Amino acid sequence: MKQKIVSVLLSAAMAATLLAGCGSTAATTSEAPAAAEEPAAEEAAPAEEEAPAEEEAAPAAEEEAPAEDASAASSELAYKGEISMMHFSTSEEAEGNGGSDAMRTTIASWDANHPDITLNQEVLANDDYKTQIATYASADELPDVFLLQGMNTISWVNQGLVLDLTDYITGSPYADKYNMDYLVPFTVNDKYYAFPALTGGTCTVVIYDSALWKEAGFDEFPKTWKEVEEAKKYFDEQGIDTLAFGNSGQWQLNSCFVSCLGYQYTGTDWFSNIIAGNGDAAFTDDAFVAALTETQRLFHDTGIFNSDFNAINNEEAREYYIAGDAAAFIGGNWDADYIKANLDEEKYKNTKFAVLPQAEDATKYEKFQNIGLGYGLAINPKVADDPDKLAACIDLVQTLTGPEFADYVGENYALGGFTKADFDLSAFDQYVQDFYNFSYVDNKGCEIYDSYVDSSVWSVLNTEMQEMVNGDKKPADVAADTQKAYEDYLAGK
Amino acid sequence: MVKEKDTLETLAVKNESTGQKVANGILGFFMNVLMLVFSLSCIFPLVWMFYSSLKKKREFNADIIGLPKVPTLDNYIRIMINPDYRIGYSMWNSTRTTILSVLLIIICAFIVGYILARCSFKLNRPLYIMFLMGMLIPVHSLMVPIYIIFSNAHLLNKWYTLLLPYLCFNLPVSLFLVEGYVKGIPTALEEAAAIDGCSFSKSMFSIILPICRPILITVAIINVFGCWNEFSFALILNSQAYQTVPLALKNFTGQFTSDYPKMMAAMLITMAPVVVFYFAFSKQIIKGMVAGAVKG
Repeated sequence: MKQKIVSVLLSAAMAATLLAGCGSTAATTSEAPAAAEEPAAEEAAPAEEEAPAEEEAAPAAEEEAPAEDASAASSELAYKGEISMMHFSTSEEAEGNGGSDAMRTTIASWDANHPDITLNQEVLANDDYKTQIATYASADELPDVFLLQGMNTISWVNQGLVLDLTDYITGSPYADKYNMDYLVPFTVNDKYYAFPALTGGTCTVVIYDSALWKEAGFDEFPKTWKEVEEAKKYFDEQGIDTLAFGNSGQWQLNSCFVSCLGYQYTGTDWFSNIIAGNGDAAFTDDAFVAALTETQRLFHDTGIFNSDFNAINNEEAREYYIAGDAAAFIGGNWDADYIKANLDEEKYKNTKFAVLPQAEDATKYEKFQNIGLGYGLAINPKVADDPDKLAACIDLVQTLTGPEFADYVGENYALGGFTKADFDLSAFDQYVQDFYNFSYVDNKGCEIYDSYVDSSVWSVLNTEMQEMVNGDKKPADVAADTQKAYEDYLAGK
Repeated sequence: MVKEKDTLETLAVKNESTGQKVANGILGFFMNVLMLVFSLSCIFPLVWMFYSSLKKKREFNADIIGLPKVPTLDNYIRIMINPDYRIGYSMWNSTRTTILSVLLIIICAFIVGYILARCSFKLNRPLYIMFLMGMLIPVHSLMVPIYIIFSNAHLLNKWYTLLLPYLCFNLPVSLFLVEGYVKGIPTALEEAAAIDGCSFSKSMFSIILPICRPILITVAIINVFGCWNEFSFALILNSQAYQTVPLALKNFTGQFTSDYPKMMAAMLITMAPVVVFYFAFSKQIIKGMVAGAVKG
């Protein structure tokens, strides 16, 4: 009897759960998903207000799409029908991620301004997005508008899966505001295949507590690794780690360390040649092997990093810094955002940013920080069969990468995208200003390795580097295996 | 003298039995401790999931194992009120797909298994082997071809899209179990029924089907979990409107960060139907499993 009562109660609970969940969904299935979340919807308001002003400023839309003003065309697009779009700015992703938040807001705004067009969005988490879009690409069933990952550009262009957007980019009404450097991952034979999307954030930044380093005898973060090693003695006495780093996911050591340190040894041309696959650069080149050797030395021999760096990820490692268990942390812009939201007042004031220190034997040192836009908005070539639909898609991607997007991320997050934004940086506090200057003003930008080439190559490098910093593999062997994967990739291209 | 000897022997026996009792007690204690540790290791992930779901993301990242300092239902509330997570709708999709798939699997596995076990025809064994070969094909190698077939057949993004692959990929194991079980049932039962005028289909459904209940319950249990947790086909064959629970749970993973407490809260919410299913049918499930074990 007792069990029956329990069963009935649990069944009722389940039914209530289902109804509650279904109820909340049912209420919104008719709405555009991007507009559903409260903060996004609230923040969409100013963006909508801006639209009429842009309309006035722009001349009447011409027939040829490249010359059209995206916003001006808002109510004048001839196309009436559906546009399918895939991206990964989920509501979860948008929490604290300025680029995703702005993407959702701008999509909602565009959708609202085009009532005759039904925008069918498929919004998946990043990992799932990559799997799904690769399946669609294999079946030649890509959506009308999608996010193209930089490393897929060459192969997808060769397969005819991406529309050439050169004319639409150079002829865009916002062309004079575009940061053309961001087009590199989406360029094949001098033609552009995507509008760089989301925001360009640094992937390698040293976030440090200036007060702690001052106590250790450094007014600012050390310029060389040798000095960092010297500072270790002081921090050891204090019982804290000198640097916190997390590499359990394997990608962190590549994206947030070697992809920046490597440039100190190879300079910028080396990786340009790797991208081009012209045979002028190889992973087995002495300079790159030297970068790997230095990486192994720093992580394995010096003890400047937390001892569990290969067992924890960046999310756990940054907690060491927040809790005061490490004097500095190395991560990306996403970590800087998280740390900003979770520091106490005193530490927040003392937190500063620095580039990776200079390695002793690095001959091409500059104040490098790797930055870029790994994804670009691309268009399925099949869309070109219907000129009206193509014009609508171009209007959409120009809006999602144009001033409306740039102003939103600039004003709300002090971040930059493909289009340069004018906003008042002084409206932000010192932390944000410092990080903006670190990312876009003070340092020399370099490419993020894994935005290019192919995941098969980076998978080998990332896995083997994890073994290497454990001391289980020689840098030369890692370089040789990566080179083999790279040659296989070039052969199959 | 004899009496004294008896007393000494009795004392020795008493001492021995006391010693044995102590030894048994110690052994029993250690066995119980071992079982307790084992049980805790099974229960702990659930308990951990529950109390972690009451933490904030920051608190969880700072201390993964520790108890929440200020327990909050914030994660549950945010999941339930944010329609973008589509938790309720995903649960409905998963429930519908799982029930229908398992029903189809049981029906097909029983009918085909029975025929392959009982009817001798020329292609019986090749057909059986062909079915079993399905177990050897890695699902991921077929994702793109299946996507293309479904796309050409206009079968994508429908509420019934997942039924077909779930049936096809789960049938081999189910068939293997049912065929083996039916073979173990004496044919005399059907022969007796036939003498009494029972038709082929009647003896299959009225006589053999009830006897096969234990193995069919086993097949159902295996497939309920398989279908409920399936990810790859649910990802590529259906759009977000028909997303299932495993896909909905992935929403809490971002490009660079993951909100584990929220993910755990969502997991607990979505586990509810399975737990209810277990509580409601626990007697049947255990009976079915035990009967299957003895008879099989």
